[in-house]
Amino acid sequence: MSAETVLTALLPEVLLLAGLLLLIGLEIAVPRHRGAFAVSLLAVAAAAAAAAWLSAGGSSAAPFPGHYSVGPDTFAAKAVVLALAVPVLLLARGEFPGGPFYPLLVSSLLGVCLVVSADSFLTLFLGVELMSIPVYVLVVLAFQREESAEAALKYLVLSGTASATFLLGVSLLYGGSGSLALSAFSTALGSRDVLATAGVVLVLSAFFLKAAVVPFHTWAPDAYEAASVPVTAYMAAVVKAGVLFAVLRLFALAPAERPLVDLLALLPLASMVWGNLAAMRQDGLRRLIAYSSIAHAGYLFYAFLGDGPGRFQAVTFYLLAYGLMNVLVLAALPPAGDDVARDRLERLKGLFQRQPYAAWMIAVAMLSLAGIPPFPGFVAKFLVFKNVVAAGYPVYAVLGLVGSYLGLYFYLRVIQYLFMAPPPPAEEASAAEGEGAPSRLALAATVLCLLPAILIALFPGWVIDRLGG
Amino acid sequence: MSHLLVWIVLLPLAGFLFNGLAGDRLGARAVSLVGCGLPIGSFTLTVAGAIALAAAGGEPRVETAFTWATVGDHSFEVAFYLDRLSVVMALVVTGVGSLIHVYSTGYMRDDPGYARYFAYLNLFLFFMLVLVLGRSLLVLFVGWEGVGLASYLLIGFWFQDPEKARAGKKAFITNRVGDAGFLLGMFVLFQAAGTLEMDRVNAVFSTGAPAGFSASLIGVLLFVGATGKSAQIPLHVWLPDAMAGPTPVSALIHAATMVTAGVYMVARLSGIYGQAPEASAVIAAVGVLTALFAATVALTQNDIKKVLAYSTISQLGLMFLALGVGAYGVAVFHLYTHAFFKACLFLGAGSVIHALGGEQDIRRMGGLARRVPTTFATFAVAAAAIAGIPPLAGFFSKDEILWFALASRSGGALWLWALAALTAFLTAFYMARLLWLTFLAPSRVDAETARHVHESPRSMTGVLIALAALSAVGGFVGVPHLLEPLLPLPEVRPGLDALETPLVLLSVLLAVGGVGAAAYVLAAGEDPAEVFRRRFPGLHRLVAGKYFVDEAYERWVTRPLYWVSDRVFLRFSDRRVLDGSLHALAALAERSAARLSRAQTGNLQLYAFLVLAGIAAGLLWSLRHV
Amino acid sequence: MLDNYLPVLVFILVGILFGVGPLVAGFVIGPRRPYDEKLSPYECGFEPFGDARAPFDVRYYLVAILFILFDLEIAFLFPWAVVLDQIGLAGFLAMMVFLAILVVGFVYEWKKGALEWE
Repeated sequence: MSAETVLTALLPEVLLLAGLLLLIGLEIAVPRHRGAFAVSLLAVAAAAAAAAWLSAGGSSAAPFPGHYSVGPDTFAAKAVVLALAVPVLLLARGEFPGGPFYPLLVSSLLGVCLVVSADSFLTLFLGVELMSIPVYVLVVLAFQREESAEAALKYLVLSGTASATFLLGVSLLYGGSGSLALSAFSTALGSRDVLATAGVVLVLSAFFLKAAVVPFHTWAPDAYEAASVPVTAYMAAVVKAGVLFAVLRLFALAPAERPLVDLLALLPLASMVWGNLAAMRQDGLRRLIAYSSIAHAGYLFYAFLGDGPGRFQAVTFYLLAYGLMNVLVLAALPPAGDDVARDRLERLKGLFQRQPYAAWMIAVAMLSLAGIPPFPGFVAKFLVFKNVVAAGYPVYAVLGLVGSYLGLYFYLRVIQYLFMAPPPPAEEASAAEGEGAPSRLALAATVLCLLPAILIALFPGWVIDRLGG
Repeated sequence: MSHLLVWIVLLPLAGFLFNGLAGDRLGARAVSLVGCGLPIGSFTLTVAGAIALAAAGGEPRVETAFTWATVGDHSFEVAFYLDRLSVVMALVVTGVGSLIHVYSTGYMRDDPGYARYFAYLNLFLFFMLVLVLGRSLLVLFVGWEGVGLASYLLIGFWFQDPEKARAGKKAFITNRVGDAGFLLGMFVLFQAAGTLEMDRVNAVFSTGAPAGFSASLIGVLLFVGATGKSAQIPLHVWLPDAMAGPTPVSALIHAATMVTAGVYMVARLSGIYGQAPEASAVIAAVGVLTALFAATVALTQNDIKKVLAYSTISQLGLMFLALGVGAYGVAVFHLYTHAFFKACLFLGAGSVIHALGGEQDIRRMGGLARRVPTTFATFAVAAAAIAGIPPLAGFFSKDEILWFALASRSGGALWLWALAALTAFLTAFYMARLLWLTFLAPSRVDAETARHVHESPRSMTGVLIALAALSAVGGFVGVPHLLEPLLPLPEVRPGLDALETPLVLLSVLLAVGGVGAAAYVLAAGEDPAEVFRRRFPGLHRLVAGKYFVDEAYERWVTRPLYWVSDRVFLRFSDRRVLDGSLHALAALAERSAARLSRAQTGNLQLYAFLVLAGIAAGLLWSLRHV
Repeated sequence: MLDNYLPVLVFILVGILFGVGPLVAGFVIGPRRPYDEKLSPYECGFEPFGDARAPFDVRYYLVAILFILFDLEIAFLFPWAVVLDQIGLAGFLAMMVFLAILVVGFVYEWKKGALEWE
């Protein structure tokens, strides 16, 4: 294999790495430089474009056989993840003029890319850790509040538990199969062996935790709330995508079989119900998004009940639609004097009268997250539930739909605040005063989320075709 | 024009975009012009489409707008479909819709949200046309959800009043409950037929259900969706509350068009229901029970709009009865006549409310016949039409429903006919009461209000006259016979042919008898509802309390949920939660949410414990099976 | 399948035995004749001052973690050095790239003052 093919196969990663080194180099060489934003934006956008281009070209290669391989699907997944990171970066400009945010974000993205292409447990583990460790620090970066450090620590400890669980599961699978290839997982799925089943359950639990599925979700509300807005967006959209892609790699095309089916149905189901119910009580937007993301983790894992090829399409499409909408909400959120005030749902009351554009954006995102046609979230849910029905689990599909309707209440509550509630009373006017129009970059971020969302709502077929499967 | 149907659909959308984005800046004149002009344009194009259809001998017209999604081997196209059925529906929607837009220019004149109102109304029309003209069930579903959204926005139009905002939410959520069934029906149907294009679905089912699938299962699931949208038992609870919206909205959405979407859907998929006798029996039973139930409630209501709302539920029940006995064309016929007279009644009520400065209680009306003569005359015509007085429109359609309820070979039965006949009698009775108390009885309007009573502007009365005229003569269009090549009428049970003429006379008698009975009580200066209350206090309490359905939901849905741990109960009660009203859902959810939030203590040890417990449980559960 | 894990079990048992055994042995066979002086803490002949359980400076952890990071690269360098003659220039360059990336990180931590104690 020539160096050229290897470099082409690794092009997105190489671009990210080059950006990362440049960022660190800048930090070392130029005191108080202001180029971090531009460099990382350039690197991420270039990597996204490269991934999209390679995916369209249909190239595939295995630069590190047995550990790392790429194909149209993996490139498409990378393109989705990296494209989601672009609006996140735009959001970050105002919050983080420089500093460690940018290198951390880029290295985490590098981890996601590694995850997407992993062929062995070693690469997968490396990728997952490279993806998660920077995020612990990113959470703490919103240092205005003490909770940030606390939440980050919780996230770190629980995530560490997940890593340990993952390694234990992998060691069991390795013991059974003598192989570190990811296929050990999918072959173990159909096995009736104690070790293999235990290994599968442990590995799956680890990813349940990383994706915040009930009862492993507890870190999420605290961490989402404590993080600053762009970091919340990053966690909700990109990290969740990374975790789900990891699970996709693990399952490959293998069907879910008993007894795993129950686990794959009941815990996600519990997530939908729990997440949707708990979200009703929240008065902070980020906590609301956290619970909503717990529920969405449920829908995403539901897709694994379905058969192999449809799974990749459903999950990838879902991640795209869901990620875009999450970033859209946070990008459209009007800035405020301080971070805590900005988060309060109450402040959205009557936003339509003050900032119609922002109100419409948030409304679109909420309707899409709720899964109402013709918004992209509907197509995403449709694909998932269609696969569940097609795989022969109509009861789980019914229960899932029922669970998803519980979510309507709080999505609609937000819309009611936006359009149908009087603006906050006079004594809160001071709080509203700090409310400015979104920055130009935040507006650009909303456009970057909205345009693809419109595209996938109008031409989901085109997108789904691009997702191969 | 090669994209006729696309233009019919898109014109109102353009109106929505224009009024929504620029309306506030351009002033009321521009808003009215665009907001009414585009729907009228849509109507004109629909008429052109109807003429073209007639010229083509009823050959359906198909236009593919674009391919929306390809999943596996199946592609979902956004295609519009104009045939005998959808053209009737589209004419009603754009025709009555345009009239109500015009009426609204008078009714909403001084509202600060004038542009927003027209934007929403145009949006509604757009989605309704998507619903009606969509070739695929999926496109229909997009319209279905869209009209729900528009209805939500319009019910909550005066959102400053929290009660009204809540009514909007209740409507939306109750509808989504039905949609769950609809969506599932769609999944199963897709598995069974391999397509969601409704003409092809009907073709697939024309030779019986595909092997391994039950047409009745699909039929019932889809019908669950229809009960939500068309306010049938047990999901009818939202419609009376939906009267919180502006009155023209009640006329357009909650009487003439949107609520009939369920009827339209069932008729559209008659191929399935023709193979599903069980589902049809369910529809007929639910329909006739809803019709009777709502008619009794309408007897006791005192809010003019609530009376009309229950009357709408009742008439929708009759349409479902017709569908259930296989008389699809007759159901559409009643849908069509009902659109005229019910829109006229609602708009008349709006005119009365307008004249009285917002008063809606008929106990504080009376003597208005001379003060608002045009409103009175049109209201009277429409009331006579709904009561079934010949030769007005309602008589023809209702008579045919009664006939097929008894005589249809696919499900007609004596008890269906008897209940429907009783409903018809009650309808005549409560309409007479409404007319009398509002217009003819001695005035009970307080002096201050009485001084300001005035007839509505010409934009409103003109529309009333047009609708009254349609209510009067609309019945002479033999819609069932126009539809017959597409929706053949059911065969008549043997030996009943001779009964047809006597039964026609009997329905006339029922209508006249209802009016007469009401007149007898009313002439004595008494309100029949009062008499009823005095004579049968217990029964009256039950009926006036709307059979305590809301309360029952609240009680029966909430209590079992303490048993959440029990899986059977979970499934069971979840159904009920979904059937339940928003109040019950909210109360329950609040309680569970509080409980769930308590688990979120912030205590890391607890979190870690949960994680370990989860892993242990997962291991135990899975290893059990090894 | 489970018997594959027999060596692991043996290893665990030996480990436990190796750690616990001497302690138990000392406890069992060692003579015990305690008196006051013998029980008091012994600190190189002088009176003990302060608590033996002093908290570590948090900077210690930082240095320790950084040490582990750079220590681990040796784990790559050793096998690389052994096969260097077989993997040729490409192998050499690959390791140089790796080391270069590592050096960037090293310079970064140095510049950021992570290595300064005060």
